[in-house]
Amino acid sequence: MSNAMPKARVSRGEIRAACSARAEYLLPLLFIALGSLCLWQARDMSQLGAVFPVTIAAVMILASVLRLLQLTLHRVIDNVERHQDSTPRRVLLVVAMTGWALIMPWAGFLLAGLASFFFLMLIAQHKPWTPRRLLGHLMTGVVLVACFYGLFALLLNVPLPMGRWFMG
Amino acid sequence: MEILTYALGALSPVNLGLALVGVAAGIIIGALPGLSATMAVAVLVPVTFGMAPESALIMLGAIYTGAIYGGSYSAILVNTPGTPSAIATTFDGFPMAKRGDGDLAVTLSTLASVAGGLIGVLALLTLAPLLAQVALSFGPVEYFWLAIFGLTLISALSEGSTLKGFIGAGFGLLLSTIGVAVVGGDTRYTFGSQVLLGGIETVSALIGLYCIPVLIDLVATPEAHLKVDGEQRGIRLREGLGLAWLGKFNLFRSASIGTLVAILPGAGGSIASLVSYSEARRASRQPQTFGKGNPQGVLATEAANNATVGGGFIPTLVLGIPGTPPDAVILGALLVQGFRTGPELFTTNASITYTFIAGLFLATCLLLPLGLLIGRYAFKSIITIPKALLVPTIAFMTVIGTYAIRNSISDVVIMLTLGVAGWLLNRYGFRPSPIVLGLILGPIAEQGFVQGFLMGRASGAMFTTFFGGPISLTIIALSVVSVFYPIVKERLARRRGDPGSRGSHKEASS
Repeated sequence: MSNAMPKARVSRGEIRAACSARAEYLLPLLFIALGSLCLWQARDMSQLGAVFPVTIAAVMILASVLRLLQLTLHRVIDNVERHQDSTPRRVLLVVAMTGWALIMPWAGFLLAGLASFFFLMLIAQHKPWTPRRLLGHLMTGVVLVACFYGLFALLLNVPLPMGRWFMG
Repeated sequence: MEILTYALGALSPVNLGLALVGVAAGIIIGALPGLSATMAVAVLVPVTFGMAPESALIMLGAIYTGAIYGGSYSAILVNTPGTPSAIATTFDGFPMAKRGDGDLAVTLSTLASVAGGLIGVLALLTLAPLLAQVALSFGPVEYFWLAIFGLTLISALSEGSTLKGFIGAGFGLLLSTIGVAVVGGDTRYTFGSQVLLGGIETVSALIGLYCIPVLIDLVATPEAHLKVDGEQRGIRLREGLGLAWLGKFNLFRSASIGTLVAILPGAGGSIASLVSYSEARRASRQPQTFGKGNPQGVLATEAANNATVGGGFIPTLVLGIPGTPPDAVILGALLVQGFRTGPELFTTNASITYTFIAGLFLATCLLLPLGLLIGRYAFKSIITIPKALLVPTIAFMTVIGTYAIRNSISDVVIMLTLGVAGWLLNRYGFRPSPIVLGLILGPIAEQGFVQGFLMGRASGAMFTTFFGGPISLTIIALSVVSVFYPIVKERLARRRGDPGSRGSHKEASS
């Protein structure tokens, strides 16, 4: 993980935030809001269905309140040592994988898989491409996708999407 | 003498070959995130219908043994547990791999799995009827407290603040309530979506919360995934044997814990490996090194989760109550073959039972050469494969693995959503392990809690129902100790002025 544990010593009475000090307060507040939403939603449930989520939501809210209290009683300092890596590549990866999942029923497993493999390859590559490297990686990608397709579709009999575009 | 004769039946060339194929297939399937031991066994059950009963059972047992062990590869090399029981292996296995000791971690995991597996099988052979009675003394309330114990362990063990661990566990428990309720049948937190009716699939969540954050961070930097110093041999047997010998008590204790936890149906390898990890850390003279790549952490978790294979078969064979999901599938295969579980399995059908146990023993022994061999190639592949191929390959496995569980694209979308949420939470100090454990243990905890609630309401003694039984009280006491022991120990050490005793997983200050 890029957000490595802090290495510098922190004196007593101080809490080093995992990220920024502000976020350290924000997350417990979000969990309090989530717990409250769960409690509110549980109004429409039967007693048997509600008893467990209500208890857990209450415990989660309590733990979040205790965390806020803990933060209030200590001095919270920013984690300045955390790594600042390429955010655009991270976002592109998530977008590519989401697109892959959404397009798979339409384009079919093989086509969507090959296209996504290619895009992810481009996103993950930091060094400049040479024709030889590109060709080698592309061929490896095709072989890997074919192997996985064979394993799942033929050996394990998993009904992989054929693609609505090609099914008429 | 008769037992020995039956056991020799397992050594026929056909059975030996089937065990070899089963272990190898199990290791590969277990190492792929998304392909669980249950899936491996379930898919191959029809293949075994045409075989002789003992051969069929030996093959299924071998697949199961291999798959549980195989889960450690991805836990160590990619920080993604291949199976839920390998969650705790990530704690020390991945830090070892990051600092260039991935080959040693894989070797240790192999040795520990063999040792743990053998102790579990030995318990199955010698103590099965006796230990099965222990499982019967656990009622719904005890199961509820056991699940809570598992959650307190993970919360206390996870990096950063214990309170953050509890909040994460609560979040996981709430995620487990999405869909149709296990008791009562209410539709909960679906917000009108048909997709969420079936709830969040545990293995999809496991893949999302562990694998997607790894991918997100992999693409962000040009550095290699794992640090590699000097010549990598792939197998460091002598060094591994030395460390295993040093940790022989740890191995034995962890395997015993694994066996005991596995006899409780539903508890599974995830609790077993967490309890053994916690005990290994508590008993260590250097608890602060746990979570930073301590080899004893890998030994403890891997010995425990492979001991659950033999342990889980104890209630399966003696009582007909499957200890783990793969046991349930194997129990089904037993019934198809015309065998009924219970005492007669050890009398009338003793030949089948003892041949099967011998087959498990054989499969566990085969783990050593096969595990080291496959582990060597897995490690070499991970360190030599360029990032531009590693990222799409892991991504491919996560998508196809998640899809294959329920043949559902929605599961893939849920997996991705949880993955992004997991990455964000991880960035803010909320580790994935408590969330995943909450999701896994949620249904067990809820069923126990609601049934206990009904029992308490019917008897008019709610407090006594939850806090009256000796087993419940013992588990509650253990849970309290697991939460407060590290805090008290740290305070005492600080008072003595010993900074080295600070828990490695604790927050910088509390």
